[in-house]
Amino acid sequence: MKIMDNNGVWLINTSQYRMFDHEQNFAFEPGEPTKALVSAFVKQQVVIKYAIDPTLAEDEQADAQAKADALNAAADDERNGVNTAADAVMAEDNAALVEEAKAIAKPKKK
Amino acid sequence: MAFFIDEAGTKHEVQLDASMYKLAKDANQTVPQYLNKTYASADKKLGGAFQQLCASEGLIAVKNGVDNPFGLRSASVADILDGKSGFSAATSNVEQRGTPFGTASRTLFPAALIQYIEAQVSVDRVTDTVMFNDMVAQQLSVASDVFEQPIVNYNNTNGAQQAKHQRIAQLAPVPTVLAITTTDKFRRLPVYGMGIEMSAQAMKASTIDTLAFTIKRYLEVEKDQRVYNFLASLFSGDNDMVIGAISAVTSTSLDAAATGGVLTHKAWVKFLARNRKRRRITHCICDIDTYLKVEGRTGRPGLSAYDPRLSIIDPQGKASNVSFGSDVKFFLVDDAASGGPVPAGQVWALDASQAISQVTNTEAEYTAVEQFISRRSELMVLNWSSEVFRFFGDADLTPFDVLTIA
Repeated sequence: MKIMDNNGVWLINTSQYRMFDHEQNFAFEPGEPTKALVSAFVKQQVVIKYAIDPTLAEDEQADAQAKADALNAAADDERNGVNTAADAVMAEDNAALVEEAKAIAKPKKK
Repeated sequence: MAFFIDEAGTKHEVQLDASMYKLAKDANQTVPQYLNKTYASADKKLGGAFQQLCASEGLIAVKNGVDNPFGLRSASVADILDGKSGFSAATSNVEQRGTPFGTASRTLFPAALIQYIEAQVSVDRVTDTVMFNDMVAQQLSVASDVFEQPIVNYNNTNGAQQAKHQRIAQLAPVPTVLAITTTDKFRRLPVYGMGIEMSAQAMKASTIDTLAFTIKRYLEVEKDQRVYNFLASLFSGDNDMVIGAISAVTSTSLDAAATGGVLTHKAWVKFLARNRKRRRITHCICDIDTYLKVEGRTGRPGLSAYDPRLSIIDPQGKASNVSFGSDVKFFLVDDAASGGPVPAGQVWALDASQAISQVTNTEAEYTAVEQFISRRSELMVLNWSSEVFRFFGDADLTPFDVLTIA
């Protein structure tokens, strides 16, 4: 466990080698939970993932893990160029359009 | 007893024991080299002395078909270690249990096995190991796990990179003296080991060629892995070796237009040209995604439409001192998620002529072999001790560079 920045979030390097972040000037050692800022370098690395706070009590860990998983999924989407917010709006619009189309297609009762 | 036949057809018996490993090491030779040199009169038509001695003890991988008219079978590992592998039908070689234990075949076994493995590992110029060896500027062999690395100070006052010549008046004392000083850095070489243990059944069933193939496969994987460890240590730093990371330059700082993870031609050329008077980048190391970013950089000069109907005046300028940009070799590694050492979006670069020094402790290799022979152990241990260092220590990191495609 390593705290490099108190204002940071818990991250973990899941690769086999240390990853040196030149923006924050320290290395993420493999497998070591590290509290640090999410720099542009961190955002670029698939292998550096959001982790749970290792000091949390056992009953709090499940929620923290769920949150970390959600953050990791969002980070993967961002890295892969998937804009989740825009996609959600688009999906909503599509659904509305489909409903509209159905209404038009439905024969009117006389 | 092990023997060889000389050019006159005379048979010479040779007493073999573990001391030959030490004698070979002292002579800075491999065991086959040492034996071939010591018994140089061996008839080369039948093979060198080492080859003949091995054959006399049954340490050969026999061939098939017309090359093996007697239908001989390669000796099993169990027979070799028990001294029953020799081709003298009535006798085995156990009678030469000399100093302190061991048989001739057991004594020759490690050397023969290593020789056989080396013969099996085909030369492949695209493997990571070969590529890495291509990047090493200096190979050193030491006989200890500690050694002193001399580091020449280039940047000190009047050092090689600071001294400037001056005009001098007649009979005036020399105004500037080039000062060459060194510092010693103590380095410890970690020793790595790998045991090879075989069950009694496996020993009876395995012949030397089967064993060699198995170990060959292991060594290929091992050496491949070692390359990544070395690279990570050199560029990302290593707490055990007390060395820091190489500082990085971002593509954005080289070209403001290189943003959003896209590399531009201007940024790439400027990266290669950095410190061009003190180094020439010869190798770049990155994963495939990053390589494709370099390959597909924007603004790269290419073909443009040519209209032959137009007469053109096209005065071309030619940059002549651009040796920094030519023939850069790319060493592609696995991406970090698959076990590679280079972070995504980074290019590690070095000048192979002055970047890496590889030091090997030869004593570690010898000790393990000696123990195998003298203790009559069934656990053969391969030990090695090798580490890489920055050629100039941390005093001058110019031969290395890191580009972050931001």
